[in-house]
Amino acid sequence: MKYTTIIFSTILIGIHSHAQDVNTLIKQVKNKLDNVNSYIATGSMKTSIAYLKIPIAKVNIQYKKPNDLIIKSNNGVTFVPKGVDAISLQKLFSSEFTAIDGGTEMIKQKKLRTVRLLPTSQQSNIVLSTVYINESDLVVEKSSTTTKDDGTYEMEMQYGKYIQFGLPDRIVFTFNAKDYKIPKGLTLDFDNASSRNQKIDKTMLNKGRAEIVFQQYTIN
Amino acid sequence: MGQNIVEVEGLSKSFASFEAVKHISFQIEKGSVYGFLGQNGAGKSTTMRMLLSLIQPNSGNIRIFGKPLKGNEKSILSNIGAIIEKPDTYGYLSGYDNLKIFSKIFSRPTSLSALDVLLEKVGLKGRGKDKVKSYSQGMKQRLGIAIALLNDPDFIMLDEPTNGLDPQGITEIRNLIGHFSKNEGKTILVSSHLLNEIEMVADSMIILHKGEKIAEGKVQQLLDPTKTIVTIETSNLQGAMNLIQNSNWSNKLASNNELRFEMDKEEIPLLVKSLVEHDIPVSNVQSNHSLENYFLKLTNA
Amino acid sequence: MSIWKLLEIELYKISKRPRTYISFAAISAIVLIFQFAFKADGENYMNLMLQGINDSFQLDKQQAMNGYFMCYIILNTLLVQVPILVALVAGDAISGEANMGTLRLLLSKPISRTEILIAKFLASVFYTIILLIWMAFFALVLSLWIFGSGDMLVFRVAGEVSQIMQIAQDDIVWRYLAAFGYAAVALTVIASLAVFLSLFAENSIGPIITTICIVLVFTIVSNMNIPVIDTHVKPFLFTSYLVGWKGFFYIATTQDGIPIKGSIEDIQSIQRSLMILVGHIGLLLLLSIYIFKRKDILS
Repeated sequence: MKYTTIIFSTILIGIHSHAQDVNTLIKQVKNKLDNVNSYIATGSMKTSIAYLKIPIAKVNIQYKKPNDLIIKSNNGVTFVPKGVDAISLQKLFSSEFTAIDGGTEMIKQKKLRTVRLLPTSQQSNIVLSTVYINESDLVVEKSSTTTKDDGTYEMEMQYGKYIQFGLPDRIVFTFNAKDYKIPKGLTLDFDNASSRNQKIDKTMLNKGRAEIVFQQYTIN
Repeated sequence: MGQNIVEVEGLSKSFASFEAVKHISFQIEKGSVYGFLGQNGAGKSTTMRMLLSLIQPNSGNIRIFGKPLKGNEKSILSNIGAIIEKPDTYGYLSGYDNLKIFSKIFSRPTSLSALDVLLEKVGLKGRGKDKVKSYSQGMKQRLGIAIALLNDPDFIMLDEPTNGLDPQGITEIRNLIGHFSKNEGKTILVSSHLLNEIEMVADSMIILHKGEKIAEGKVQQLLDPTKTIVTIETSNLQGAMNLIQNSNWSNKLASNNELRFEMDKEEIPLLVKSLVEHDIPVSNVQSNHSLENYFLKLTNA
Repeated sequence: MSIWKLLEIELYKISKRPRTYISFAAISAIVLIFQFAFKADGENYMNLMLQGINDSFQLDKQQAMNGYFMCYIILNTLLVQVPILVALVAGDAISGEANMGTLRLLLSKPISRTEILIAKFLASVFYTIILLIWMAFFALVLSLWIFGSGDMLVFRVAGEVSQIMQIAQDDIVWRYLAAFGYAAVALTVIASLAVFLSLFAENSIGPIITTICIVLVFTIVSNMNIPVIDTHVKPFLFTSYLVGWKGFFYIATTQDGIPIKGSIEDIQSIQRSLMILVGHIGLLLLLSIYIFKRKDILS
């Protein structure tokens, strides 16, 4: 019995001490991000979803503290996934939340600390976010966020030159999207043999992916 | 005998079961005015259309300017001017424009002055700029003639040229035909359903009725007061025909139990006598003095 | 008498007929109405086309609603109507002259019937091409002026799949040129059909209406989505190939779904369609000449 109690308290203490750690960790990550007041970045965005055949877009990304992120295309028509502004992690950390330690996980041969963030506000669109933090560099390498309205989206970050600002060189943003059907009779298509045989991986219909590669940041 | 401009032999044309032209033959002498006489539907226009290669005959030969029409359409048609039925032209175009189009086809000059010369010739001077649809029937006829004369043809075909014209117009057309024949040496084929029209202008003529030739010859001869057309009613048509075939009476025509032909008035008693001698029962013998009566009787039948 | 001189005469006659200009007026009117409507309320159309996408993506609709896109929409609608306008002139070719009584006048001149028919056919083709150039000017040049340029979105239903393709703006003009060229060939089939039918009538209403009816019925059947018709009927209807111009806008993509500049997804299919259309033109023309040469002119 005594033994059990000791184990139990150790776990509790452990959790407690971990929780402390996690909050500190989050704070450190957030502080690092907060060093950037605003930035303008150039880069490219490759949006992939089964029904879109679109070129890689050259984009300008403008960020202003705390939550203002705009993706603009240089060449006109660009499909910008909704919720892609979540790539600004400041936004994620700016709201009130409770952080829960999820231990460590090996992802792509890196040991990352898993932290679950539960918003405290009922109004928040986010239900749950899980962030995977590289503790030595104090950057988020991966996140997964479940929202009330926009489904679940995931992000994977790769860092390079701008790691000291917590700004990635490359982000892969994966999101849920609705199926797309053009209203019948609106197009009168040239139905050639190849198009008739065109089948689609139905499971892929609702999975979108946007890969943003940053070339240059101008940071203030 | 002059040279023949047109030689037609055994010409026939059917439309489905309707025989429009039945095995007709005739010749048109160079420099003459030749008349086509017959009521509407007699086969005049069909024959003229065949001469212009607008309609393909079922059988028979057509030679124009000494050449077979088939295979020589282009060279033959380049020396023919024609108005078939109505003198239709492009109503939405002006007189000038109409002339210009056909001048181009014949590679003739298309300058306004050249076109004015043509219009003056047919009495349409000053109306060249007006749309043809505003023209009177007579003016349309004149424009049609101007187009027919564009290429200075040796052979002119005029189908019912006086149709729809007022008396003055009719006279003008007659004078025009006379002018082209006598002064310019052109060969002219004129059709009409009125005998006196033909009588006034033509040298020779053919009478068509229901697609058949019923008379042909010099107008003077056909209208000769000493000649008459005799109609015999008999129950022995074959016998009467055999008898007449052996004689020199010409232009035989048999229908039902009637036989019609042309002969000298004075020979009528001789005819009756020989019919009786050959035991051919005759129920009626009738003699018509003028071609007019004959034609009317035939065509009203 | 050269064919060119005859063609010149035919074009002159066409140019003097009021009905010739109905088509130009109709095209201008339709295009201008389209442009006005889309200028005023294009966003609704975009929203309709983008149903389901609006929830997942943000898109600058003003940018997407550019001149290139407008031209595509206009052609999509208008190329269904243009056969009517082509029939209006081509259906009149022989029958109109028969009706006026000028056919016998024309044919009693030293011109062969083959020459006349070819000249009339070429005149109809020429008219069709001028009509297309007029349309290109209004639908493309004017739209670019009003709506500006930019990348072009092509909405397409391929088999069971809806697709949006984006073509870079420097990759569009040649596609339109090719599309207009293709449309010229497709409409020439209509012109050939109308000229062919005009051989059999003595007024132009009959051939015009018959041409329109054939195009209409064939088009309806061509747009049915019934498997039996797909495989056994559609390949034999020339109307199935009339929309082939769109093939030039179906851009090929990489494995990742990224459009390849200057590419066409299925060039063979376009070539085959073109060959079928050209075959129709040749066949109708030869048949017309054969019949016209033997025809008794009774008008």
